[in-house]
Amino acid sequence: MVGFKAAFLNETTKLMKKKKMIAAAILSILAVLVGQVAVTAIKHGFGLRVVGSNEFPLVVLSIFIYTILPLFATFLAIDMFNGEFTTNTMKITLTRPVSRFGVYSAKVSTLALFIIANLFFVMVLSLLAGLLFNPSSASLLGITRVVLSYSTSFLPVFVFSLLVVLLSNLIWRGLAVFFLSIIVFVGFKFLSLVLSHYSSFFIISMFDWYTLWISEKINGYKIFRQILIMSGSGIMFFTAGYYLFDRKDI
Amino acid sequence: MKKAIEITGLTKIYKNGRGISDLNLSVDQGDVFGFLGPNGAGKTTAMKMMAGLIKPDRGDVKIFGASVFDDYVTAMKDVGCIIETAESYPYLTANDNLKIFARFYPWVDQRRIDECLKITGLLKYKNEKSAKFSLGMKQRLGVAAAILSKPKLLILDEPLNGLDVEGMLDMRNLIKRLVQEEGVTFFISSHLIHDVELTCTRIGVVYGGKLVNVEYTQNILSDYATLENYFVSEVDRNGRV
Repeated sequence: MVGFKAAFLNETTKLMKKKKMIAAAILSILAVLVGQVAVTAIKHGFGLRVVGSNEFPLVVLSIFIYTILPLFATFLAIDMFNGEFTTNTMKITLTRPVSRFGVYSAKVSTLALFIIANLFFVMVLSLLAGLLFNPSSASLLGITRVVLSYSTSFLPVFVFSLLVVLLSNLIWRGLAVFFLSIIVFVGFKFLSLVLSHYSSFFIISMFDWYTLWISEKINGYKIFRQILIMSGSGIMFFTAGYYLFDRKDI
Repeated sequence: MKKAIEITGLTKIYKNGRGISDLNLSVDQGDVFGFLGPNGAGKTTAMKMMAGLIKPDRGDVKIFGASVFDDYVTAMKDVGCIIETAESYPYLTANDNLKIFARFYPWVDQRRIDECLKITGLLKYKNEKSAKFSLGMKQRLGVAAAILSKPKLLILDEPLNGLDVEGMLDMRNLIKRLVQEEGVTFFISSHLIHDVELTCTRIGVVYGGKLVNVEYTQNILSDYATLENYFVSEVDRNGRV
């Protein structure tokens, strides 16, 4: 894939220079801080131990994965596609010796990198906060469970981001894509509750699939089935998004 | 002589009926080709297809023998371009913008970036974000980005847009220098007839989505007092009242 490396480095450089990255980092720190303050306040105020050092990162993840992470992944996807189309900066890259597939893959890879980096950042922060405030309940097994939870959380969020990328290439206006993404997010969650038998097909319902990996009895069949559904959906979203991106007149 | 650009049967018609129809054209290496036409004649559409930004309804564009639509990377290897407007990332400095472009050409280093900034008169503004640049400065940055990789072919759509008199003179001199010293081929679109007359060695007139004539500037000026007279004559001959 000629030019992919250059395009990928460029996308990450642009990402680092954007204020959205700083906003995402600040909000992530705030989420961890507010969570820890709440847990500490309950502990000291009511004498109740809400969570130990190993459970705290999982509580943070359960909120983070439904709020800040998909929100900023959506922002980023819209910025990389709709943003560059409307500001006419897409042609800067597209008139260089790089294929459209190279550019598209570089953008999607940057999105994946952002999700991984954000998850890693929050995981380290929440682990540190948990260890700092509840050092007595720390254990190696607990830390392993936390690492496993955060690592596996990447897949459903990434697949959802690929859906946003598809929408970004389908609809010209970024604002419309943003609202449509929110509708899809809420709609999928609602449908997964109403049509619980088919919930696996609504990607949002799989945002908490990390619980399958850390439960007492691991259900290998269910994990395998969900991996297949998410991979299949991801491949379809990626391919459809690329088809639209490749045909787009700039 | 090896052709820099070969366009055959290039057609793109928009829903509103405008666009460009059955464009056949070849540009030799070392030519400074002027693509002249009024607003809406189809110049930018043709240039966007040449740069692979839009796909044609039919036809092909070959740059140094490689098809833009079948082998884009090879075709664009030695091409620099400004299409429609000179764009840059506003949140990056002039230097960082050029660094972004330079990543596609492994041989381009900081020295070459500084050289291009110096040529375009932007060296002292290299650490300023392009969001703060005037239209002329943005245009200069676009030119710096286009010449960064020492391309053999430069496709420039209205390169004088936003430039002041000094900028226009600099641009004209830069084109002449690149042609004489480095043998660069130019494909320039403009509606500024006087500048095309002073810069281009060969001229194609496009009107109503069709290429109506291609002629050497020298031949035109031997038959007409100015390029403007030739242009008016060609346009009249092709249906304008």
